[in-house]
Amino acid sequence: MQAPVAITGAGCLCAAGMDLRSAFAAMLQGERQPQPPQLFSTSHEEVSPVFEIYQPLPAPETDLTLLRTTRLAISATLEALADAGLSAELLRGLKVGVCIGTTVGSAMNNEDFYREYQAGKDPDMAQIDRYLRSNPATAIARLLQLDGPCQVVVNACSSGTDAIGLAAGWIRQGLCDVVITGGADELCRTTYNGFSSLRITSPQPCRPFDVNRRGLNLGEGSGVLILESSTSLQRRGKSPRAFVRGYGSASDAYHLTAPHPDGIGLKQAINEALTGAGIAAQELAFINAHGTGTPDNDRVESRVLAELMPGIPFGSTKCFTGHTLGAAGGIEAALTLCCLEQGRMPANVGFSEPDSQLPATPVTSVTSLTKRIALSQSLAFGGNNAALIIALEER
Amino acid sequence: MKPLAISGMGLVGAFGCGSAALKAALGGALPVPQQVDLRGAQLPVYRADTQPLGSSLSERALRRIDHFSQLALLGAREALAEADRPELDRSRLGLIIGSGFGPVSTAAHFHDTAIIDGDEFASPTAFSNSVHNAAAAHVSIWLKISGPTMTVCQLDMSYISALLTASQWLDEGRVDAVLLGIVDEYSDLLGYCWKHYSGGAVAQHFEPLQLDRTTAIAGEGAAFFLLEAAQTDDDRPQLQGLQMGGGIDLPAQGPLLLACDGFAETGKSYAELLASARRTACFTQLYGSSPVAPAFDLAVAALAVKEPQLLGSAFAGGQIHCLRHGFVGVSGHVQVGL
Repeated sequence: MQAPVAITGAGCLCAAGMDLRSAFAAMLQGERQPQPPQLFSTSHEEVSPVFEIYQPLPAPETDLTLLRTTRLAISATLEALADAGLSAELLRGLKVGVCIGTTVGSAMNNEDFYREYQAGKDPDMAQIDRYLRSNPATAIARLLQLDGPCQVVVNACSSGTDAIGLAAGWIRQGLCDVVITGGADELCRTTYNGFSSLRITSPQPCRPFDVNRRGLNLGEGSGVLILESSTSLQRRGKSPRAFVRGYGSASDAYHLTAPHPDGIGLKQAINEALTGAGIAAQELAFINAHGTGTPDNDRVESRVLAELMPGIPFGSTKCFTGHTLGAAGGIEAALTLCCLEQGRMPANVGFSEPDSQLPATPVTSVTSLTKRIALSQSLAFGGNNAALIIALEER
Repeated sequence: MKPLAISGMGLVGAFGCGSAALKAALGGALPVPQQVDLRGAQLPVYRADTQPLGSSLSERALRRIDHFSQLALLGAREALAEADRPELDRSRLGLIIGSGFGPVSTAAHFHDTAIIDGDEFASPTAFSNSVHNAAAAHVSIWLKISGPTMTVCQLDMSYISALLTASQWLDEGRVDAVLLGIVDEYSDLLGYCWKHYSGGAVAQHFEPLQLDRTTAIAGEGAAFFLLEAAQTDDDRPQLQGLQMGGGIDLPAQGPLLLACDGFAETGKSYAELLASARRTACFTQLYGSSPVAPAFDLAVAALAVKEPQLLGSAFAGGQIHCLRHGFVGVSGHVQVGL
């Protein structure tokens, strides 16, 4: 069994809201407004709507020359730290690690720079300097003057969930008193063109698990949790909000972009997480599914949910946030925590007609939760699968 | 940390492929950098050849896999072959890949397809191979590794980040063994940046111990290690300590392998150690400057603790400390011993 790890703070910003509280409230209201991208232009004839953050990012003291992904991560981090009651001064006396998942934040794929380079010009190296200074974990550590382990996980769409799973291990192993962990990703032309090229984006607002689902909508944002050791908690006299009770991950070893049709890796990841938490599937209040709205993902996920966790309510919060890639696991963990605390989960908006090939269907209205443990799961390119169990109680 | 035994290594660099090739380079068979065309000028680069992969994969299969992932596949294959552990349960084998920059060439190719042909014609194949964890996917599919898989990106500290995770997984009992690889490739775009960061004039001779001058020559390659929890009376080389952070607590005794990268900016951070009475050595000139270089240093140390004559008497017996000072004020230290 994995020892529970305390969650003492959470922060999130995404298209649904500029902080965790407002994002969750909007979801309970069923509000979502995907629109054509405004951050960048595209020449695609059929435009897929996206879940973009239109407001200026909070935390104006943040270095504006950092990548947007990194500024998203910093914004969510500052919200989570405030929630945990941890000031920068308090952190300096502790061993604090940073473990963040991303996709765009790790990639030297500045298209403007590359266009100029390919045109035979001498692009301004400031863009590369910016990339080198924007490693999300290192930038957070630098901002807060932290000296613990730093890691950026780049497991594609399971990055955020994997980062939290790793971070929990840092606490359990005594490497850190506190870990800032989660995921962050910005919308950009590169990922928009990439997912469009794979023909898995929907021209309409996404409809996870519906028979007429046509693909995903991209999104952006960041979700961050503060994990803390029991020693640090006792020293501060602080009570946790919840606990990371279990984490599991496994590879399909099957295909570069498609999940294994039998969900082999997903099952292995879920079983490892349940075993780590020392619970049975029937103890779960609900499942925050990956639920991208692509035909393949939803088919595999529905089959695995029906087989391993029959009857447990589930839904996808991506219908409110879009698929935020490396941020998704962090955002969904924070939202899962809110669902448990408030005893309600939002409706899986966009689902109206079941698919006969999908043996499990999501909740269609705001649903009351009576149990106090939940699972958040992520599937990813490369065949990665990750599962995280969050509970309101330690045991 | 609990010591990690190195059961096998898969090394691909300018020195060649395999532990024997690295030993030969240490013995004096120095690799020569290739001259690569960069906008009409010649740039020396320590390139790594993935041709040996042709004995395992068809030409057709190789055409579909980019150079970055080929480096990973070759390194992974070599590490498992050297370990000779066919009984390993692949569902209990973890895979961790660390890379400073990822598949940069394929990412550039993806941009090309959109820029030249238009957004509608961006290549799906290039996109799916440009994702940072594409190499891990190729390795897991080819070698049927279905345990946990992780790719980490921490620039020149990717190697120590990856080791930290391997140590954690083994300590938690999540896996029986970890196949850990550090992979980075040269690309024209990196070469362009390299030239700028070298002040416009790239050195033709790599002198990493000339700390006050930038003489760095870019390198590439893959360094894979099959890691397991060390047993009592284990005769395999071991990683016995890991540190990562702004302040490294370096033991006062023991020889040092310094991963000097040939940049004046980081060079000065090694000056005090080189001026001290400690036994020090640097081998970056065997593989070039890249995020893989400190992982190659671990391989050198692992070979040297098994064969004390390899680096001469000054390094014989006891532990070897591998040290890398990074660009952003973070350092990595790994203690290698028997």
